[in-house]
Amino acid sequence: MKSGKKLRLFFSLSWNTDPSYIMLLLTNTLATGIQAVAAVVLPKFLIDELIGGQDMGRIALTGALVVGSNLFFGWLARFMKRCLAVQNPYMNQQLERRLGEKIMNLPYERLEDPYYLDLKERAAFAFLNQQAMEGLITGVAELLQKGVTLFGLVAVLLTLSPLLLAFLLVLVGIMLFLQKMYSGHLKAIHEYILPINRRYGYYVNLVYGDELQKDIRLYDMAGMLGERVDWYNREITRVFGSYRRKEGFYMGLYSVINDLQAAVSYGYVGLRALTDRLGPRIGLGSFTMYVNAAVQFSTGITDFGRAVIRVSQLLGYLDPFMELMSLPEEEEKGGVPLAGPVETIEFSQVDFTYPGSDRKVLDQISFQVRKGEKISIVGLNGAGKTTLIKLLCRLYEPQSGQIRVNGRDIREYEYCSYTAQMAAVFQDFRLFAFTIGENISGRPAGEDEKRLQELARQVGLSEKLASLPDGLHTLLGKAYDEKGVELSGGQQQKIAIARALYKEASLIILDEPTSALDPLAEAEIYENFNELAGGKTAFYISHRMSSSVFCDKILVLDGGRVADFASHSELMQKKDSLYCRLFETQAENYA
Amino acid sequence: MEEEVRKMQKEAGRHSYSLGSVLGRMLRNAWRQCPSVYRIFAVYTLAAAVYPFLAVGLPKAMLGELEKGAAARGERILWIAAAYFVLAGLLGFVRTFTERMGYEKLSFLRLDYVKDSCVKYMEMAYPYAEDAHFVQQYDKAFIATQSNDNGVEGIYHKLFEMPAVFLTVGVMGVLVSRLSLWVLGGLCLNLAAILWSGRRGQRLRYEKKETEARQRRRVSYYSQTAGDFRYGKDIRLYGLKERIRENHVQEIEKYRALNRLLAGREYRLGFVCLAAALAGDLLTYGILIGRTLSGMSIADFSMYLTATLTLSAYLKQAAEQLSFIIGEGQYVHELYRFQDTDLGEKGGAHPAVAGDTLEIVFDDVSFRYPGTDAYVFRHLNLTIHKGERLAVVGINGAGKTTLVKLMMGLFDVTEGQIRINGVLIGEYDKKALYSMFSAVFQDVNVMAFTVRENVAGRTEGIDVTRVAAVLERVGLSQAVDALPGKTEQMLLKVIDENGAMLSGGQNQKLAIARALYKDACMVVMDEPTAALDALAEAEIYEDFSELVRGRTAVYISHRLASTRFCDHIAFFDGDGLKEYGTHEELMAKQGAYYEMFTVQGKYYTQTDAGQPEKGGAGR
Repeated sequence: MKSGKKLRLFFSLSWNTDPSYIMLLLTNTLATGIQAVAAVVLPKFLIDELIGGQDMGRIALTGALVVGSNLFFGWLARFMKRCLAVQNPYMNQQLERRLGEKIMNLPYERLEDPYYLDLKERAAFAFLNQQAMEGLITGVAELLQKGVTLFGLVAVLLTLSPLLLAFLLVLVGIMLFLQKMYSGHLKAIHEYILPINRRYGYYVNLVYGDELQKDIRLYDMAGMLGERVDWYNREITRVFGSYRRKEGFYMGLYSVINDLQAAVSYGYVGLRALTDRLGPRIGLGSFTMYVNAAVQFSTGITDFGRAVIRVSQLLGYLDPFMELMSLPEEEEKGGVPLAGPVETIEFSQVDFTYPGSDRKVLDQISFQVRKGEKISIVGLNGAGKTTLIKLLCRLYEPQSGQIRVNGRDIREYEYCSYTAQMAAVFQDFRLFAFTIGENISGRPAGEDEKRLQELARQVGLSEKLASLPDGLHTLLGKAYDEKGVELSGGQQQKIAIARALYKEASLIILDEPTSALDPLAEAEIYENFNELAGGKTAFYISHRMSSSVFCDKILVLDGGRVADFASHSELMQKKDSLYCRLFETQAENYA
Repeated sequence: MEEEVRKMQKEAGRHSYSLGSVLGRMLRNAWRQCPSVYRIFAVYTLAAAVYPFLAVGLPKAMLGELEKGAAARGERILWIAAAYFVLAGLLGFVRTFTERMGYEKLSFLRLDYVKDSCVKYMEMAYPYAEDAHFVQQYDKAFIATQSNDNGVEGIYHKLFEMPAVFLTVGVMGVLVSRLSLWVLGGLCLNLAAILWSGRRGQRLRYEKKETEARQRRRVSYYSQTAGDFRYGKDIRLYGLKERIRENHVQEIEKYRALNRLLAGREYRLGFVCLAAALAGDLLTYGILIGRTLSGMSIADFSMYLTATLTLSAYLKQAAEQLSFIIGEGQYVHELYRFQDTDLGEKGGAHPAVAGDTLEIVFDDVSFRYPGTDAYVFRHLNLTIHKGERLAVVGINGAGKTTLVKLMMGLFDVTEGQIRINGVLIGEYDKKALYSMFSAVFQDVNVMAFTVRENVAGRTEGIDVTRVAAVLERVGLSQAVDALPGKTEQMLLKVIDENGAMLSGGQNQKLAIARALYKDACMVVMDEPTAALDALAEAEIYEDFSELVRGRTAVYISHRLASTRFCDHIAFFDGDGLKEYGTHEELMAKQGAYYEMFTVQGKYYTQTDAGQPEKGGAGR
């Protein structure tokens, strides 16, 4: 019943997205059911008329009915095709949008968990490669359609002989049994092939990705990657080979059973048309009707079975999607709005370990920062600098200890009002395919052009903007529109910094913001930083030790612990401190 | 520029091709790769062509018997049914089973083309890989191998099924023509209407193709961005959720409106088909009824009716298969074009320099990236002497990385010459040329292979002792030995969930180990320390000397400190090579290099002064 529940969930989601679509499918189902029965019953009257009365008027009428129903249902099919051509992709896109929305609403920590990354990729796979959404909806529609058709045909067959129907049903039972065995194989293969397909995709993406092209050529790795792709080709072929044989065998048996159903129906109905020993004798018109009904019934059952397989298969593809969609969203825990600017920040005995890891990234971190202070965070790679920032931004929660802003645990603040006070530029910041101006302001182009221009000047972007015909209104990147421009890493970094400055936040955080800038541009950012940040409290992470010279205080992290927290000149006096070592290592090159 | 590209795309799209030669090549390939598919195909065709006639013959035989009236025999009815079951059961099973067996082989043929394309892509000249339009230009070639239902595999399937369908159509056509050529005519009319409206519809869709593709791309931009975990932090902290949601909904609605327009047009075209179907039906039933009234048996009535309906379905199928092959043949043609075009994978014939390091001479070199107007260099003259260590420094966008790309043959010069040990760079065999450089870049791309495979750049014939030696030299031995699989440990979690993740510094060291393992004639380092902390950086600097050992070396960096262990410095600005000399010479000159060095170094040297004058302002 698990798949029943999944199906219900999926359809309630679809219903919410677009109820008219579901109604359309239901109407179509009913109409197609009627068509199938009409196609079986109408010829009977025609034949009866041709053999019996030969009344020209009635022959013409039944003939016209046959032709007319063909015409009507032909039209209906085209009409439905038109509607579905619009609604199918619409549904697909809407559901994909829901997925995106869900992801934007998840607690951030999930987004760094490889399990959920994998889950998302599997969920997206259903949209991209399998068109599972569309397939599922049409599959279920087909299921209903065949169900209605079969119902009608059963009614027709019952008027002849429950015995024949019972026999046909026994054969259906055998088919179902085969079906079950087949599904078992299918499922096993499906489970086996899915991760293989994913890994295969990884290697093929390496081949076509931008990142490795230099390495592939300079280190002659075409052979290595080609071999790997070939290995997966053979593995996939091997797995699918055995699957295809099994499929061929089972489908072949289905076909045999179908033929048996046809043969038995013809034999039985033929005998009924010949004698009255098995029941009332029937005419040739009825003969045609009943054999047609029986044959339609057996192919209908096969189609029904096929639709069941398809739906259950697609439901399998849908598993990751459903799992993702049912994850709990970020809850609003605190309720206190953070009204004013950040006055004080206090870490007290904060411990943090990433979910699923045993390594303490932060270990008893305690320090205090007052309003307007500029703090540099320094430490080796992996010392926990970025993690500390993530905690402060409430992207993660500490396992123990407290982070207090203005004296109150940050978890108690209402999330939006809290993040409104934070402006961060992360190492792996992302810009969007909006205009440059919109990227900075985060909202549609408005009247604050002057302020944007001023910010652009402060971060050293003016020259670049002047060279673009549309200036601030230039679209970024080509993902959205071909007219967009691609900027260099350094220019993007400048936009990200401007974005952080634009935000009316009282705390500003820069995590390695100048790694892609040349020394002159970097110095410009450093030297203007205090001016740029104004009275805001600021955190600054950089491997360029010279940048900490500008800061009021330096927080030195070593293996997740606070090694020092003092001003540059104080720390430089402790000759054996980590900070001093780091600084001197770089400084001696400039001596 | 963009127009040029669009023109190129259009030309590629219109590229005339011979369907016959494409299909011929596909058939030859199938013969070469797995001849057994032809045997399977022969059996399938036989079974599949005969099978439909059983369904036509059965009612005819039955009704024929029943129409005998009193002379009809119950045993014969049963015999007919039994004979049908045996024949249909057998042929049906064979048909289905061989079809699936064929699929298996046909899928492999497609995957094999995927591999060929992969290899071709990895061996083509590097500029194509950086050219955003290249993939667009060959998009059909890549689509051709993307799925089971189109392109290569789609056509193979149709080629497999079609002969049986055509056989059935031919024989069934003869049968129906015995009833009346008019009925056959009606069927043909029907078919013509379907083909006509199909082509019309396709043309209408084609006209809007670009609009449709653009709109779809916009929709998918939003679904990808919203779903991309890497955007998560910025979306949350800058409150962009609503914005993305609203835009996304808007784009979806626009796409729906466009689709509605297209589907509406196709729907209206469909009325032509309905009219033709009506005419065909009227003919068929009219003639059948007329014949029966003038004495034709009900058995024949039934047989001809079934035959006509079957023929109509098979005709449609045949037409669809044909137009499918014609349409998809274009894609396969593009695939072959991609594989046949010389994409500069070979280069010249000169072998690699052996037993010597390199001297590189830039002789009046000018360069602009293909498809752009702005020159990165104009008339650049620079010699990198044998055994020299050259630091390349300068502002962003001055072309430092471009310089090494030219030197290693990743790009070709626009004007002028580059000579390596006196030989023009273009005369070297491409693979030989690449083999002469040990290069390390800023972004290290560790792959989901084992440690030793990552170091050796191959999966077989790895010199294990050498791997151990280079790991030792870069100081990674300890870290690698701590991994459960040692040098056979799988890296990353993508393939193996127990894969090891190395730190940024360790990854960088692994890249240097790889360069050491390669042991090429010359060393190139492009910003290898940008993401590293000061201690890790210092270690890399030390490794550098280790790596170089008497070889010519080029070191690119924003960290001017790196110039200290180099013999010469080349300083580039927006106009090309600005200054060249030793550190002391350039410092004495007090030019651009001096200025940059001072800017970067000033806060390191002012330590005693404590806070510099600007610090702490704005409080």
